[in-house]
Amino acid sequence: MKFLPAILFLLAILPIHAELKFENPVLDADAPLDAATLVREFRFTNSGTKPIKITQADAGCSCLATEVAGGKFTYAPGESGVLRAKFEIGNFQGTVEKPILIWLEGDRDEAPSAKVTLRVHIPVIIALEPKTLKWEQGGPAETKAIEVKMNYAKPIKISSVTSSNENFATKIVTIEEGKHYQVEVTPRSVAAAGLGIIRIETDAEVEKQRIQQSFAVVSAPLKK
Amino acid sequence: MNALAQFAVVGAISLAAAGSSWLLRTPPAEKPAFLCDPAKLLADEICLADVKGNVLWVDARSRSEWKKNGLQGSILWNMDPKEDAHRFEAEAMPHLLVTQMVVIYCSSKKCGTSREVAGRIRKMDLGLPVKVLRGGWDALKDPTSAP
Repeated sequence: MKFLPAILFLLAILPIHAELKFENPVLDADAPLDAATLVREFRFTNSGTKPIKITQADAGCSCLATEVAGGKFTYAPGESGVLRAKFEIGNFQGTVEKPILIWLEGDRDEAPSAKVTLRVHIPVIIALEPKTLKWEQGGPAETKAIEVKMNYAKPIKISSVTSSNENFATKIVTIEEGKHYQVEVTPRSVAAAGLGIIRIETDAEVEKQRIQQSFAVVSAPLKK
Repeated sequence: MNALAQFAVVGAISLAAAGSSWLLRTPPAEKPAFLCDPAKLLADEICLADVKGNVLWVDARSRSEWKKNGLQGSILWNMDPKEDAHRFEAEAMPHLLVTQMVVIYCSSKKCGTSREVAGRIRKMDLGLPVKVLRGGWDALKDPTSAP
């Protein structure tokens, strides 16, 4: 049996290294204001010692489609390729981080070989704070304000403010024309619970951010 | 003993072991479709078994999936560019005002849309606990994970 230890040793070291290495595992991308989609490419290399086959790349979101460029899924050691990610901007705003998991042939479902992240920055040109104004039923019917700040190179003006509920009166106060406004909201009565949708229309060039909305709520006092 | 004979011995032992394993085999335990491990929960997640009380379910899947088999009493809120984001907010608000907790589910374990929707609901500043269902739709369709 003098060869047996040698055979066992060879079997132990036989599993060969397989690795998918990405140049930039995290890509930051600034989305143009009016863009509907954004495409970025992750470059990778098979830095292992045996061929690899990409079987799946999944971002777990219908908003992000992935494809391996050229439909090529098998890569020899040292060979490079491109994973393309197409993000549908849709209703997203601000910074959105989308991890993409990549499985190679032989990977278990819960253990993909690689993970890359697409971090998309979508400009928010009109910021409202707070999103909801609240009054307590039976409390003081005082005026409260929504701060409206424009974060855009050109001035953006508020063209109208309306409330879905006539119990809430609204008034626009200009702090800095085209840059900063307050929308004051005053409930006519706080005797009963109620909800109003405050719709703020602007002259912003970007259609999908032109109309903003906020809420006015009179709610029952919290039980103690 | 030469190398060939040693291979033959190793092979014979392996075959015998495999054969006895095959003869004595028992059926594998049925694997549950989804198992929620509380130890692995992220801060904004919840196991289905822990969802109790006055809860608003938010379905973050597509409109067609929600119409087909969305949870009874659930509301739709997704990030589909074809949908009206303002309308989702406005339609959700009356429900949010009368609930004690919001739980959002998506179409798969990995779905990130639930987190996006959770972020939007938190920004409405209503002080409600807003959780993402661990396992999403996989957890809901698995009767073994029901509360």
